This record gives sequence, structure tokens and C-alpha cells, in this order.
Amino acid sequence: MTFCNKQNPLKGQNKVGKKVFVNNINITLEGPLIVERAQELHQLLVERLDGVTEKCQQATIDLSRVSDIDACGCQLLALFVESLKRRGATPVLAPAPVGVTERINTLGFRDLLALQPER
Amino acid sequence: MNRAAANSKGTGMTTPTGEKSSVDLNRFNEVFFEECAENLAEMEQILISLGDREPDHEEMNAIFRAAHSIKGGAGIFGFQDMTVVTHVMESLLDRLRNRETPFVPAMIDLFLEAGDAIAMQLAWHREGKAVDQEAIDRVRAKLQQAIEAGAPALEPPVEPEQGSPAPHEEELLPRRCRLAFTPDPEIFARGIRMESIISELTELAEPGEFACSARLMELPDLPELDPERCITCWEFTLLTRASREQVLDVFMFVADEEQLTIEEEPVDRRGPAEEPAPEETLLAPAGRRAYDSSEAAPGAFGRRGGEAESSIRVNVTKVDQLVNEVGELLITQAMLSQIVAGLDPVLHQALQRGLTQLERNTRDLQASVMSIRLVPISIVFNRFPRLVREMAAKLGKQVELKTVGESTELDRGLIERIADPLGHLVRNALDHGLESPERRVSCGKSPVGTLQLSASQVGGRIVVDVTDDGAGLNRGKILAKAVECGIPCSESMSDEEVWQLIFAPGFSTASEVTDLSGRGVGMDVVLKNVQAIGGRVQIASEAGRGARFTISLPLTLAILEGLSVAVGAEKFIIPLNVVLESLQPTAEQLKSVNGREVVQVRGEYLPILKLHRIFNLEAEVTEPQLGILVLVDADGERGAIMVDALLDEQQVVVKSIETNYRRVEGSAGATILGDGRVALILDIPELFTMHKRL
Amino acid sequence: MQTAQGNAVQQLAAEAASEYLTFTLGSESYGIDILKVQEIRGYDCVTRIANTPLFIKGVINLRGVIVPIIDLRIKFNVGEATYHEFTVVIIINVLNKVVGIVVDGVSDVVALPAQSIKPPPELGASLDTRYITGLGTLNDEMLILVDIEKLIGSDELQIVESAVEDTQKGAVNQ
Repeated sequence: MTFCNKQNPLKGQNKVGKKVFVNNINITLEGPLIVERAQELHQLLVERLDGVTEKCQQATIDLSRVSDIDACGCQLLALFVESLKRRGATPVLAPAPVGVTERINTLGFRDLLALQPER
Repeated sequence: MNRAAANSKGTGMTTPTGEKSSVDLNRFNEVFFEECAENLAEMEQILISLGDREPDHEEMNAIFRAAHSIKGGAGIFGFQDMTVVTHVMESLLDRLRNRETPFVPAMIDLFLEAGDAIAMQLAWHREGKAVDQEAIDRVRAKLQQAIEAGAPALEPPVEPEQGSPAPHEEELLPRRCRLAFTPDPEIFARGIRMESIISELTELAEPGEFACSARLMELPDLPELDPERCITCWEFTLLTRASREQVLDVFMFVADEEQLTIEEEPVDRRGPAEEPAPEETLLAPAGRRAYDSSEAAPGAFGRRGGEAESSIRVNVTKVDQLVNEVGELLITQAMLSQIVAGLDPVLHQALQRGLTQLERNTRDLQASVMSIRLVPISIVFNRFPRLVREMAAKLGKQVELKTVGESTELDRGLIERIADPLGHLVRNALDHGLESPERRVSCGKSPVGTLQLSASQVGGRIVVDVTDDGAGLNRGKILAKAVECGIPCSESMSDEEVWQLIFAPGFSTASEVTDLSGRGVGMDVVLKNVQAIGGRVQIASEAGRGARFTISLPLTLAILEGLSVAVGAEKFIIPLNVVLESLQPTAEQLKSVNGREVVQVRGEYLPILKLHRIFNLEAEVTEPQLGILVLVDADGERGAIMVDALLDEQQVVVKSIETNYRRVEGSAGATILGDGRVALILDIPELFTMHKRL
Repeated sequence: MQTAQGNAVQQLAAEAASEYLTFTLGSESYGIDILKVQEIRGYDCVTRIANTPLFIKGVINLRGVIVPIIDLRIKFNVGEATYHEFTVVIIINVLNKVVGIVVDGVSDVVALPAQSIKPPPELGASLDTRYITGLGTLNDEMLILVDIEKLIGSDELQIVESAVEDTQKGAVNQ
């Protein structure tokens, strides 16, 4: 599948590559998180996850630049959050635009993608 | 080199919404397409039946439901373009229903036009056919206009006893519904929009009484996840007045029975604000049926409406597989019978009894399975009222369409393939057969012509007639045209032979190609299509009185009563319905006419078709008096097929040779015999043709 | 022709190593893409079909499906078309068709790295170069890699109803 020539949707500390020396990491997602981009997003999230070591305490996922999300995107994000927890990091979701937040709620992912640091 | 490119098809096509859809995706979309086509057909049928009458309450609801369901499905599958027209149409229907807009007869044509627009969009998504966007915009504008025109609803509701029907025909008491939906893992890849499903559900719910929560069913490590595979399941809780069917309808295109569980309870047991306790077991789909609560399985996954309660939608391939498997069973049973026939009947009495029983059971099972595939021909006939209505209007002719025997059933596979040839014959009859009213009157006929479609079952075949009381076929014109087209013919030909000329490729008698028939496909295509499904076309015509085209088809493509015969080492099957008798000829019966061998049977001379010569085989028998002659009659043509020996009369399962190979001349397919070998089923009319060429 | 072969080679290169089922026809070794192979079975119970070319041996019943059997040895004039208990039929699945081909013997499944595959020669093999994707080398022996899909789809074999014929008919009907 070919996708729109959007920029790399994942920014943040990707210059560092596989090793991260700081305790907190920041992950910024951009553009639409939809099924058409699922493979691409998955690959990039896996790379991000590789950068998470035991030293990481908090992983902030910035959703403020996400333009759209569908059920597939929600699922991917939810599993990413789970995987972060499993690696001992505390995921924090920074708020998404209102439309996206509403969509997440509509799709029933309100609890899985709780936008507060921890319940 | 181009071949390779052509072979590697499967290139995705882009839908108007810009998403990529692959061939694989189309397979999933097929359910929606089919349902959509059915809805369109149903809508059209109702509209046509109305004439200029205002639809009654029930009809209105049926039309509304059809439009609504197309819109819903289109939304879920992301065919946004299809929701546009349906949406406006739905609005107009809603206003009509609530008597906010008065009905005018022109609306019938408008709705028909809208149906066409949607059908066109459907064809675009389904087959990539071109879409006339202007036409769509036009329809949309007209619908919009109709809505606005009626906006100041001056007339108060006329029939107060009917009340004002609300969108949902039955106002049930609100109940709390809890739905657990475990989707197909491929739901994302299929392009299904969960948000559309959810918003449809929200619409059904009482305001603010809808809750939805998603849960991951498994938590694989992220790298192991196939991101397009759905591992999420949903639970919806809603307070609704909608019927169970309406709720299930939302999932019509996306869920199989086992993927959805629904629990309902009257609202008084629980306060509406109370959240239902999450119940883990509810979400476990394994072994749980969708309808294990007391109600009978409703029609959410089948057709809605009257028959909904008693029918389910099954993928055709599943039925075909069942037919195949029963076919295999028949073969095995035949094989066992063969073995047992060689055993001492005294010693193996019990075994034989058991086998007889097995044979009976197998046949019953086969009959039941075959009947699943049978559908009434009315499905095809129903397409014609509109065609006739519109064509007659364009041609300035007056036509009454009669249909007889609509309930005659035939194989589903045949139904689909008979529609085109039949449509062609109907168009021909209207265009070339029936005369203009003035002309009819001057011939002393009623100005209104009659076109009759009739179907009936005759023996093992289905016969469909297209009869008109028009001018009949014109012998002189046909001959002149044949000469013009360079088709061999002569004045001395019999009428029947002349009629056959119209089946020659490139033949068309329409003096000018009209917009309505003569679309570049001739009767040769009709014949080819009908022959491809084992059918024949016959013509009867009387000048000034009319013409009748008769299509005769096998009842089913799948099973055939046959006579197995041996020629040399090969075995062949002769369809039993063409066999008259078999005999061993005496020398006196054998004659030679024009150098061709014939056999005289009760004063009739029949040509002898030597199978070994036609098929270039080494036969044990080459002289007719030593072999056996099987007398056959295929559509009036008689002959004697010479074989070495008769073997057995048996039911055989017809298999296609064309699936993996090309068409084989002289055979109407193949079957597998009890010993596991393949035997060809003979196509008798084709044998006659091959024989004449020898 | 030249460019197309180039493409085929490039394509192979892109796939790195592919696996091939190797078999013999007479004295030559051939290889076909293993992914196209459905199964291998013995040669028996073939029902002849009248008025077909000699290399079409007939049809068999493969678990309820009618499958045509082609003898490539006859088609390409290699080896001797003899049939005995060791005669092997490779059942292949291409172009949505299941077809059996008779060969002298099936040797092995080998993985050939793309870079070891050379473009086909202009001449030399019994098989038309149109159906050859390249030449491989295996234990110092030449392996002719066959584009089985193109071969089966070719007009020469007459398995697939000729596309050319159909379009011509279509043109007449217009």
C-alpha cells in the first residue's frame, strides 16, 4: 500500500535511535491515525517501543497534532499504551484535538485511552 | 509480453472516496452489494406496482426501509457517494410518510430515477462501470426540490386513524439492550467504519441513553501485532424503542450470528442511569449463539420483511460446497453399490438392505440440498414490468405485459445467467415484434399489444416462453438481410431454417439500430449465453399473429440422470432425458442414404452417430449390428448413437471441465464415476453438428 | 523482449532467494516456483479427451475436481513420453486453474539466490525462451527456470480459452 506523502508522523527523540538516556520520553503523533496507515504507524510505534528501557518512567504520547482517528488507530494506540505499561513505563496521553477526543469516546476507547495521566 | 501484464490483474481500483480497495476487499463488500441490489430491486418492484397510485402505509415503509438500509450500508462501507442520494430520498420519503409533503404521481418516476442513480453508483463500486455524475446531481436536485416544494405542509393529515407513522413502525416500550460485538478480525481491512455502526446505533437509542466501550481481547506484544487485524471487541448498552430487528440490522453487513450477542430486558428492572455490571462471560464469543435468548433468530442477517423470520442468508459458495459434497457422497454410494452387487446376495442380505436404505437417504439428502439452490423465476420476471413500461413509452407503443408461472423454480446459477438473454428477447419483441397502435388497428387487432412471459417445468427442464402478438418474423426480410450479411441461405429453406438464420453472428434485422434493442449484441449472443447453460432456443412464428421464443433449460446444472455407455476403454454419459430407447439393430434395419449410415426404426430413418469416429477412439465395435444403438431426441432432432455397450442408469454429478480447462466439443461437462474416473457427459445437439461435419 | 527479461531478472533480484521445485524432462533439469505447486502425484486414471492435441493427455479426478493433464515432454519434444509407476504429475495452481503436468521425475526443492540466476539464452533450450525466466546453476548443472504461469496461459497450450479469439468475436458482434 502506498500512502499519502505525509511527513513522518512520529517525531520526538528519534535522532537517538535505539538508545534513550533520559528517563522520560516524548512521542508525538501526527496526521490521521487510520487503517490506511496502520502498517506504517505500527512499524514506527514498534521502533519507539524499542527505545523504551527500564530507566524510562514516563512516556508522554502527544496527540495534539493528530487529525483523525478510526477504530484501527484506537486499537493500535491502546495496545501501544499497554505495551508501555508492560515495559514499566507510565504512559501519559497528552490531549488530542476536540474532534479526535470525541471520536475516541464514540468508538468506546475512552477508558483504554484515558487522557489523564493515571486514573 | 502484454499477456503477463494482463494476467497479473488484481490491481486495486480506486473508489470515488479515494480509498484503495483490492479484489480481496471486494469479496467482503459483495454482501453489501448484493443486499443493496436486492433493496433496489424491491424498491423498484413496489414503485412499479403502484402505477400512479400513492403508496399505502406499508409500501411507503418498505421503500423507506430499502433506502435507509442502502444508506446505512454505504456509510459503514465508506461508499460516501452512495449515501448522498439515498439521504435526500430518505428525507423526502420521511416527509411523505408524515404527510408534511403531499404525494404527487411524478414522485414515482423521481424515485425510480433515484434508484437508477444509486444502481449506477453501485455498478461503479462493484464493477468499475462509469458513473454519470450529472445524472446523479440532477436526481439529487430534483429530490431536494420536491422536499422544498412541499415544505409548507398545507394539508393536515388526512387519515387520522392511521396516525402519523414515525420512523419505526412499531413503537415498542423502551428496553435496555446490551450488545456484545466480537468482530471479524478482518473488519478493519474490509474498510468497515465502526463509527458509522456506532452512530447508527446511537440513532436508535433514546437521547443520551447510549454507551459504548471497547476492550482488547488479547494483548500481544506490539511488534507481534498485525495492525490491520482487529483484536478489539465492543459492548454497547442502549435504551431503545427500536425493535430487535432494527438493532440487528445495523450489523447486517458486518457480523455473523456468532459474532453478536444481544440481551434485552424491560427497562423497569433497572434504572436507566444504572450502568450494567460488566460481565466477562458475555464477551466470550466461543460457542455462544447470537440468538440464544428466547426469541427466534430474526432476520437481521437475512432479508427483512415478511419472510425475514424464516430465512437466513448463506454464502453461495457454502451451498455449492454442500452440493459438491453431496455429489461426492453419491459417488461413494454408487461405488459401494457396485461392490455389493458383486457379492453373494444370500450371505450379504443385511448389507444390501442397509445399502438400499443408504441409497434412499442419499437421494433425499440430495433433493433437499438441491432445493436450497432453487429460486423462483419471478426474480427475473420482476425486472421486466419497468423495462416494458419505459420502452413502450419511448416507442409509442401500447403493451400489456403478462407473466405466467412466476413461481417456477430453477437453479440460482441459472437464474443469473438467464436474465440477460431473456431481457434481450423482451426488448426485441417490443422493438421489432409488436406494431404501433395505428398499425395494429389497421390490421384489425387491438391497439394494445400483448407480451407474455411464461415459465413452466416440463420433465427435467424448465421452459421459458417470450410470446408476443405482433407481426411475427418476416421471412423475406430475414432472407434479404442474410444475403446482405453474407450468411449462406436460400429461398428453398423451410421457415424453421430461416428463423435459425437470425442466430448467425452479425445478424440484425432492425433497419436502423435503435437506442433500445440493437445495441450491438445480436441473437447470436442470446443463443450462445443460453447454450452455455445447457439450454436451447426455439422459435415459432406466424406472420401477422406473433412470435414465440422458447428457451428450454436444464432444471439444475448440478445433477443429471444419465445412461452410462462404453466405447472402447472410455465411458460416456448420455443424459437420460434425450434417450428414447436402445436397440441392437438387425441387418435389415440398416440402410445407407447418400453414403451415410442410417437405421430404420418404425418407418423413420435415423442417422447413426458413431461415437468412436466422432471422438477418434478405438472401439471394440465398429459395425452397427454388433453394437448397441441408443436412440435420442434432442429438441426435435433424432438420431442413433452407436456404442459398444450400455452400462448403467445413474444419477451423476455434473462437473465443469471449464473450471480448469477449456470447453470440450461434444460434451456438456463431465462427471466422476464410481471407480473415481472421469467420464464425459455427451452434448447430443453438438454431436449432431460434429457428425454432420465428418 | 530484452527489457521484459531484464524486468524479470530485476524482479527476481528484488525477491532475494526464491524456492524452486526442480524436475527433469528428458535430460534437462527445470525449475518452477514452488509457490505455484499444489501437490505431486502419480500418473493414473487419465480420461482421454477427443480431438485435442497429443500433449493433452486428458483429465483426471482430483478429489472431485476435473483437472487437465499436459505432457510437456510431448509438447516440447524432450525425452520419451512413457508412462509407468514412477511417472510423476505436478499439480500446479496458476491463473485460477489447477493443471497437472507430466514430468520424468521430481528432484528436489532448492533455494536459488537471485544473483545466481542468469538471463535466459536466446537459443538452446527445448522450451521457448518466452517461458523461461532465467537460468540457474545447481551442483554445476544448468537449471532452466520456467515461468509456468505464462506457459499455462499461453495460446500454444490451449488450456485457457484463447483471449484473442474472444476479442475477435466481440468485434464482430459490435
